[in-house]
This record gives sequence, structure tokens and C-alpha cells, in this order.
Amino acid sequence: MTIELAEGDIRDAFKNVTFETPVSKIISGARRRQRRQHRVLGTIPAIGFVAAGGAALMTADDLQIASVVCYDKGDPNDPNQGQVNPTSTGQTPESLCAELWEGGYMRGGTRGVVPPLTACVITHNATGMFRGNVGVFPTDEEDLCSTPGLQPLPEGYVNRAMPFAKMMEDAGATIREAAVREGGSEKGACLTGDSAMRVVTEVLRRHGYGDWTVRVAADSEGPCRTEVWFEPQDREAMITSTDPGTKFLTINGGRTASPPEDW
Amino acid sequence: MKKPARVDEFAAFYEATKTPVFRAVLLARAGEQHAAEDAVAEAYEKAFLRWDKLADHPNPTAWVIRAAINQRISTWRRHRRVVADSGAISPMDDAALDPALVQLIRQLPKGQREVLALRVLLDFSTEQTAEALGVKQGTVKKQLHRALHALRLHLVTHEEEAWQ
Repeated sequence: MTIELAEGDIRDAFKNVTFETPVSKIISGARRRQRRQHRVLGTIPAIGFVAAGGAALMTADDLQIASVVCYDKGDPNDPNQGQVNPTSTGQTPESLCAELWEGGYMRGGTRGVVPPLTACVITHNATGMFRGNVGVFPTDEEDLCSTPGLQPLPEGYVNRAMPFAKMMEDAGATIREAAVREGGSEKGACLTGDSAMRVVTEVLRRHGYGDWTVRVAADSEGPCRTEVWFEPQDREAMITSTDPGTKFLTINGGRTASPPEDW
Repeated sequence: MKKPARVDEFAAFYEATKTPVFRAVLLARAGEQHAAEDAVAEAYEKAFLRWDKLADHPNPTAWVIRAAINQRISTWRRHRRVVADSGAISPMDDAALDPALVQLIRQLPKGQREVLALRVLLDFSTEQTAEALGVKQGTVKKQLHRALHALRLHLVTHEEEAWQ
């Protein structure tokens, strides 16, 4: 038997093997993956926000200010992390992630025990997602933010994040009210795409983001459009439906956050 | 959100490459069908998310195959799979592959399977294979030679046993 024959045998052996997953499923899976990693949620399960995209420059003005990524290890490549949204009261990133640790939601953590936390800006793209985000790591290692792929938090980050956080809080409350009104009850909270567009457009205008574009995502499923992604890079808000099976976690003051993936 | 033209471009790339990539990953992962399916799906999901950059990559298929071969299957997917596979695990039970060949493939070391997958099923050149797997070209040649030699021996033995 020659080498060529062996190669042909192998090719023949695989000729009936096909991969049938439709591209639509790959794309929706990719978007779910993105949402899981950027989800910042409103205060009832049917309503949430997702901030996607990352800033190209690592100055306070250009950071991804819509969410803070809480890692369970001192490694920005680690896939296990939770996200929390900044607050209009100006909490530091460390204090935001401390809530997840305090609640016992971080992998390897113990309820009530908050490890030393250090916030850095993620400057590399290893995860494909978090460049420009603030990451909070369970370490007091002084040099952590000087390691490749990270940089210290620039001054002014918290003040910069506060107005955006205020807009998101307002959007959460406004969408919730509208969804309850339109759905007839808390449990049946639901908004049509048109209604959600009106609500989100008005909230953005109210907070000085009137030049943003608001769209309804074409791949939304189900009748309710109660989730919004904010994409600061594109100045775009994308309205979609909440994925079935999405996990929600309530932390201080009724705010919700996205816990590590397999929580 | 990707622009529609970019989505179409990705869809065309996906349709053109998904089956050869799956076959290669199936071979590289020793015929474990579910693991290969998950790895391929995850790799394409990641490719979609970075398609703006990947579209200009000289060999996006190599990027996907490398991602699929190297990636650790996420905990979430492993959990899902545990549920789906709550009965006896029977890799390749659905695939149209000869079980005897799967047995042969399993006897090859991982490195040889990966080289075989890329060189034979994806028709990658030695250079492309070396780049995708992060090894030297000489290593690719050696691994391919050894893999084919081992398979040939097994096939000959198998045929001789069949005659006896």
C-alpha cells in the first residue's frame, strides 16, 4: 500500500461526514456568547442591557464604561467572569465586583468573604471581547496593572462612567414601567419592538445621547423586545429579546448582574 | 452588530469550509463526535465575533481550525453535553465513519492526528500546517510520515487478520 493510497483511504472514510449546523445558529450562538460576556441587566428578569464593543484608546474618555468585568482569577484570559454595571453613585470597580464576591457568586469564593481586589484596564484582545473594559482581579499584587495586556485605571474613570450609568438606570426603570404597562402585569411584562424603540430613543435623548441610532435586532425571537445592547463605539442601541434560560442575579438595591457563566 | 455585507461574507466562508473543518477536527480529536461538533461551533462563533479582522487574515480557515483544535470546551457546553449524554458515551455513534478506522485513529498520538487532519483532509501545505499548529515544517513532515506508516501497518495487519 502506498502513502497516496492511505491518504485516499482517509479522505474516503470521511466523505460521508458533514457538518449540518446552519449559519444562523452559529451567528445566534456568537451573539449569545457576546451577550453573556457583556450583559448588564435591569431589575426584573425580562429586561436587561448589554454593552458591547471596546474602546480603541485606553484613556478615561474612551474606556468601555458600560460594564465592569469581575474575574475569578488574576488572568484576563480566564473565561470565567461576571459583569456588573457601574452605578450613578460612583462606586469604584472594586466595590462593584466586591458585591459578587460578598454574595458568594464568584467561582472559588466564599459567601461573605471579599478578597483583595485590583482594577486594571484590559488593553489586549485575547478574549476578543474585553479590550477597553475595566477588569477587577482578586489580588493585591501591586504590579498587576503593569503586566502586558493591562494598564492602571486612568484618573476620571468613575466620574466618566457615572452619567452613562445614570442613563442605563433610567432606561432600566423606564423600560420596566413600559413593559409592565403594555404587558398588563409584572409577570407579563412585554414590549413590542416599536414601543421599545420609542422608550429607548426617549431615554437616550433625555441623557444627551440623542445622536445615537436605535435599532431592533433582526434575529430577535419571541414577541417581547425587552433587552437593549448599548454599543458605544457605534453610538448605537440594539433592541432585542432576552434569551430563554438567561440567568439573573440580584445584588444590592435590586440591581442585577450577570454572574460567571456556569453559576 | 455586524453590517449585513459582513454577515453575508462570513456566511459564505462558513458554508464553504464547515464540513472540511469538521472532518479535520473530528480526526484530530480522535473521532469524538460531540466534542468535535462543540469545538467547531465554538470556533466559528468566535470567528464571527472577530470577522471584521479575520476576513483579512491570509488563511481564516487555519485560524478556525487552530481555535477548534486548541480550545478547551467551555464548562457550559460540557455541562450541556453531560445532560445530553446521560447514557453510555458512544463517540461517533452518529457519524458516518467506519468504527475500525476510528479505532486506528485513536492509536495515533495527538500530534500525528492533527497533522494528518490538516494535511490530508484540509489539503493544507506543509507550511500552512506548520503555521496553523505552531510547529516546525520538519515536524509536520515527520508526523505525517509516521502517521501514514502507522496506519498502513494497522491496515495491513487488519487485512491479514481478516484473511485468517
